[in-house]
Amino acid sequence: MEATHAHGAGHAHGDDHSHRPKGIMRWITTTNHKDIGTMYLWFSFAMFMVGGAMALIIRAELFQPGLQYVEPEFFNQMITLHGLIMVFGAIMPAFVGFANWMIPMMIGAPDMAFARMNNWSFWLLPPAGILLTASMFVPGGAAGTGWTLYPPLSIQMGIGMDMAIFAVHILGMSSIMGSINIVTTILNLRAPGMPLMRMPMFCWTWLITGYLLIAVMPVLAGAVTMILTDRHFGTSFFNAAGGGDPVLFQHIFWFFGHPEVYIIALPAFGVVSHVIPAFARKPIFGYTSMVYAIASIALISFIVWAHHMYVVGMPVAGQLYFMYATILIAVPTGVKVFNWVATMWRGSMTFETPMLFALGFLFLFTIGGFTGLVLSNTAVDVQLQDTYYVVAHFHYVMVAGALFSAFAAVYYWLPKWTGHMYDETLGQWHFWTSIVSFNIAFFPQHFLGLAGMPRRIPDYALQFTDFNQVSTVGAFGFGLSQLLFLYVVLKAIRGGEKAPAKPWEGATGLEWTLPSPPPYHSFEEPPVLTETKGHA
Amino acid sequence: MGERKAGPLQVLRTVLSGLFGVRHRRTHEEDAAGLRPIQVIVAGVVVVAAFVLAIVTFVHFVATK
Repeated sequence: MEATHAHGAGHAHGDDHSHRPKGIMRWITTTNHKDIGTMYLWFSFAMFMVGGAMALIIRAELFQPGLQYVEPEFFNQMITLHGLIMVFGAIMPAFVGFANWMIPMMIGAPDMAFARMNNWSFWLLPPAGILLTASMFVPGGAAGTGWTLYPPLSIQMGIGMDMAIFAVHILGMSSIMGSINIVTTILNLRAPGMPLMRMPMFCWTWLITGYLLIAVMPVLAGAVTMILTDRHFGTSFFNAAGGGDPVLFQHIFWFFGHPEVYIIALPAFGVVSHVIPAFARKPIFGYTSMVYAIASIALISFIVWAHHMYVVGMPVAGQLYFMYATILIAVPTGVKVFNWVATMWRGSMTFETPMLFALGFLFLFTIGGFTGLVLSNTAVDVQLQDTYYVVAHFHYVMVAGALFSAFAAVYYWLPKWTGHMYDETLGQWHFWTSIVSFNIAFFPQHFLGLAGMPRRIPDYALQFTDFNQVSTVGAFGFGLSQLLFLYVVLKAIRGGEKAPAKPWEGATGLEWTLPSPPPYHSFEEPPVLTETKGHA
Repeated sequence: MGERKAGPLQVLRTVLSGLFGVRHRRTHEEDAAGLRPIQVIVAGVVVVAAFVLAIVTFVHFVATK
């Protein structure tokens, strides 16, 4: 879709600096989608650093067998907070940040549909982040249950557990409001002449993710509220001594938890579906089948949840059902991988940093998907569940999948956001150090898991030492690589080569018709769309 | 758009190809012209329910001697 948008006299007066508060109040009171998007991204990066530091504590402890640096209780708290912070504090807000920045520009809207609610959804995040991190310093320490918060342990812990529950409540409210906003924006504020089946793929992935979030976040809120009432108000939802059932929690949690995986993955798919066509200089292969695949992945994600709990004592019929359903979800995911590869087929490819991260995503996410298929087999999972094989699997999906896609998004859109080109050499260094150290950190964990090393334990048997040491070296390398990323981003914000409106030759879409950086209010008048072949 | 109403068969075809994830653009565009979103959503939920039932039935045969 090509657009000519009338940069009439009305646009020339530079209104983007005229009426916004200065200093700190600009950020506290802002209703502007770009400001809020920026805050989401910085919050997410701060949480990424906090969660990453916790990961390094975990890896330092696991460098040698025996206990070296931390107590087992603290180790468990690090495991829990690392998971909660990375999922709810880093990855999800990052993609909401991209949505805030890009969706109004992609669909030709002036701003998000509910600008004030947008401000509120962001400002709920810092209290939740503070609750989670501060819970380390209360009596009894933070929640040590793992991010899944399973009872009975979650019913027994100290006040840190309550703080985690409230943090999850707040983060859930923020996500629901963010989703309502994104869904409404996409459905109502598209420029005239942009039907749903021609809108940018990132908007499609977020439209469906928005519905997923609205469907499952209340389920998680219900589950943690039941833990809260079990803890303090004498109920016995999950307490066997009072007639409750701890396995009920697992069902409720994973009814949220499995769609959550796709809540994280789908926007990542959306980003890659923009970056690969731009650097292969070809429109995305099979746009309609991509949309279909996203929708069906979302629907099927609701009917596979108990593959996370094969060993809780399910009847064999239940195990078989969830195994078959899980294996079948690989079909639409395979279609998406096929489409990305077919997009590159005979394209004129160049390998700037965004493309490198998108390709890193494609290779490694596929590995993560395949190990997921391995785990979906009940007979195999009985041996592998709660081993490092599972840890390796979901880090390939979450880090090499979601995080690499987020890096691709930052490099792809940074020239648009800042008006400056980033340092390409350093960006490529960031990619190569990241992908090498990531694989050093996580590939050996497959073998550790196959050999039987359990997860969430600070000590291990001697024969696991070598691979754990390799993994720890990789983890520290990966952590250090992200400081380079911070430097590249700060450098681009402070200055650098001036970015044109469309810095990428093969990029398409309305966002590239705006100058870099774009005016404070993106499209005060809807752009005029002229229909041509291909999609935005 | 929307002048010609899509029949149940076309809705079903759209949803089934959606679940598989592959479709020719031309046939999609033929069907899509008459489709309303509510039809697709209802059909999608119905088909997923049927999908679940089919797996459950299959499991029933596999798991019982």
